[in-house]
Amino acid sequence: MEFEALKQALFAAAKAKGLTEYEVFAKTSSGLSAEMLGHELQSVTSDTHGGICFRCAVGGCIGAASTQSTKEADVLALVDRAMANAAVIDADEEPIFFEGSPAYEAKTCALLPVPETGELRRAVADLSARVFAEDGRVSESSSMGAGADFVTVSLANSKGLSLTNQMGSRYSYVEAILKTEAESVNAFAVSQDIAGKTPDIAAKAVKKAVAKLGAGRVKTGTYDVIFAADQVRALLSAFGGAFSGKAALEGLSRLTGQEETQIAAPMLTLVDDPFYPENPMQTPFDAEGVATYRKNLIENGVLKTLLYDLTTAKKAGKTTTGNAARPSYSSNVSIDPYCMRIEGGKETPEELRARMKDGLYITEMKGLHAGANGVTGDFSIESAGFIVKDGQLAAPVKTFTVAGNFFDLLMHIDGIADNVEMGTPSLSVKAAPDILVRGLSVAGE
Amino acid sequence: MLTKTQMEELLGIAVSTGADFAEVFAEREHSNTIRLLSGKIESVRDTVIVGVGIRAFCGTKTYYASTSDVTKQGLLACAAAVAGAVGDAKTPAKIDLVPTRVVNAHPVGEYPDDVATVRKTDLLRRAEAAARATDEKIVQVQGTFLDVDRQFQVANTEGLMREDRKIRNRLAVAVVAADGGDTQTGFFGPGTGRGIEFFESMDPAYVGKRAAEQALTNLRASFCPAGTMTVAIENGFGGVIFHEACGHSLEATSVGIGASQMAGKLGQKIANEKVTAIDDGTIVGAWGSYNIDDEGNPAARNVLIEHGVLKGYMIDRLGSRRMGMPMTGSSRRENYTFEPTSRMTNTFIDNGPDKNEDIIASIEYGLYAKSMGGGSVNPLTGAFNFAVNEGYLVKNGKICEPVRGASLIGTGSQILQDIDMVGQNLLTGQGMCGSSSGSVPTDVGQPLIRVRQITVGGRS
Repeated sequence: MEFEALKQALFAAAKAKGLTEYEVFAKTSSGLSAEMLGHELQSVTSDTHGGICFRCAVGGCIGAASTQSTKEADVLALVDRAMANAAVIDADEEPIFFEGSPAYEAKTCALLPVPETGELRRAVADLSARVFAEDGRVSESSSMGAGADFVTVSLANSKGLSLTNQMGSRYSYVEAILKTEAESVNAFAVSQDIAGKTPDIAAKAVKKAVAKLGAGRVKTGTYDVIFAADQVRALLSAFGGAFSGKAALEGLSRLTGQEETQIAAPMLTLVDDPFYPENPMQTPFDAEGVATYRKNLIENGVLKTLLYDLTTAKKAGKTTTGNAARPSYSSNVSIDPYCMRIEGGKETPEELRARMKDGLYITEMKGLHAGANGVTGDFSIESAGFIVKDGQLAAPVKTFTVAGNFFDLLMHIDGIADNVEMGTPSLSVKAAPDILVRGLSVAGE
Repeated sequence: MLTKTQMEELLGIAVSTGADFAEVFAEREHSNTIRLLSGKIESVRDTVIVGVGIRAFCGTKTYYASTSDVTKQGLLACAAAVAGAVGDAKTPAKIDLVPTRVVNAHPVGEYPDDVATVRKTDLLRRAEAAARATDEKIVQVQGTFLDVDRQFQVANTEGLMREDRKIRNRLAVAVVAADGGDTQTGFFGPGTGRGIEFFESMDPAYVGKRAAEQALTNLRASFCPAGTMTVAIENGFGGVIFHEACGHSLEATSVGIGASQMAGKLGQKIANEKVTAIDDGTIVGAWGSYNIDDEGNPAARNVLIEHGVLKGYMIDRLGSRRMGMPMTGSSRRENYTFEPTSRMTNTFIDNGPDKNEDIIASIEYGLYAKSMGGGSVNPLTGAFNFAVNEGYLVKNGKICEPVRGASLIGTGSQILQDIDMVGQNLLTGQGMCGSSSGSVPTDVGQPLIRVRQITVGGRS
């Protein structure tokens, strides 16, 4: 059944049960990918998935249920399941179903279709050839892949809201593995096109791997540190949840009650931008149908706003920021940023290193899902990178931890470079430049 | 779910263009996630997954398509997508499946869908009340109750046709304690492969209290010192050290393509002789157990390391082809949207020769890691990390003041040699393991162990 037919069937069933407030949310996706192992095609995969969620208000409580089945009986059963689930909820908020925003902003990205399999195979074969051409030590264990996804989101409710958004994205990646007699090293690079030419991820991954050869240890101590742009994105991904107005209300964020106070160095401006042009997964409306827009979360170091959906905003006495999210068709409404971006500074990465003079340049952090506490901000993370001496990258180092507190770190930023790069750590879209922080604890040998 | 005739037709199409093997996997899973926050049942996520994944092999090349459209048209399109990726159209092959019954070794008393939701919410409320009653410094309690009823069928062109059903339940409590401006967290989340009757022996109040006590301990802890030291790691979820430091490097996913530090080391002494490590998917009712894996092979007890010598890997069908070794019943996937690959089930270091009290007494200065968080590993290099959720300094053989914010890092090959004492209180803990085939439930486990020397990440 198509969305329109599913919606009509569910709306009719809801009315028949006496419901007056309800909503149907659906998400479908199709994707294609190909992967090489060394010089050989390893796998080709394709997928077509969809699911539908029915939400309703019963006695002041929200109930929801979802399914991937398109059988009429399974779809219609969602109404009873959602009503039964509403019955166990402890109401403390008035359900809100939204009638729609007056206007929705236009997207700034092109809609990319899923390519043909042949195009994808040629792209990964070319990527493989380019990776091996970079360096004679590249191992056959190296892998390269490319793919594309096309997602359709539909939302309709009893207030007459009816919205649809389509998003297409493409990607390619390289894991370059170099093996020498002494060691094996690997490095990753990711691009947002299927050829991996912008940037040239074949060269980038191999160069990164070569630079890691012969890495030594670093002495335990306190160091000035520059986090490379992709590592700043990873930190934003690990701690971005603190900007959720819901987390703040629940006492699960250190930013509770901090709006309009200085929480970061004055040089820091952090934006949530649904229409960042490089992000192909843009949406003009959030998971409740509210228009999305660009907003400063931190402006010159001052926290300007947290992120809200309709319900949380009402509880907090604020206005929704259009950040209601449903990562999957079955997800409850949560609050997420679209594309968190740290505005670039004036120095180049080289000038930033020159100003730091001596310290560490962190290019890898592992295990953020476990070693970073999103509530307290504390982190202690396995890292790798380079020793910086007199402003120059001197020698690669590995197997050390860098530890601190994210919120303290924000206050101690001493430099922001101009190299803002976008990426997708942990499925979220972030953009950030290199950042200099003074005096972090490092555990090594 | 699919009929024998449907599966035979789909397999026939999938191998019609030159593949030498094909497999159909059909799944239906119903799960409920109930969340309690601030003393109130906040949400229920009630969802049904339905879909089919079809895979074909040409040697070690794989072709995979999956769909949630299980209409006849959707299934045929899925099989055609696989066949079309393999090569040009030929005549569909005739496949004869031989259905075989799977004996359930993991009895379930009460299936989740037969239990009233209010009984599940009652577990959450009991856990929350106990957590709050522990101390007035407990300022927030989040509880989650999860139940999953997973049914799947698998059939392949070798004639195999089997189906299985796997239940799991988990009660997880996360607690925030605050004192002045200081905030700390605690977590405990036991799970089971049994029915909800598991919580008759696992008291929800104990779950809440244990999470609360961890948060309170961290509240009075100072930052862990950084540097290299001797570390004793407690049983239960402490076993995550073996899971990360070594387990992933023994999966065919990395071994089969030469991207593991453990490739080519069978029969070699890779660990201290006190270390025997096992992956056992047959433990009755365990969180990571099953009757058959996601390729239809029976779960197995696989000895990985015996007295320090590498004895085996965990191998799926593709890994078996790459490595020229038999499959080990280790093929898993989160759901039908993922191609299966070799994964761990219930993985643990077995009891050793040392008395627990001797282990602590042997440490002049070091860290006692009572409760571990998660971690990750690079199988190529063996470089691993994991977080210590609750730790204490050990001085002159005695456990002393608590410390917080610690992490442990090292390389698998080194730490296996440095585990120089193995105690006798083997216990497992439950976790979710992420890899290329998604997130799957796994048990980790060990008795108390001593690591002679490891880098401790800290802040003082």
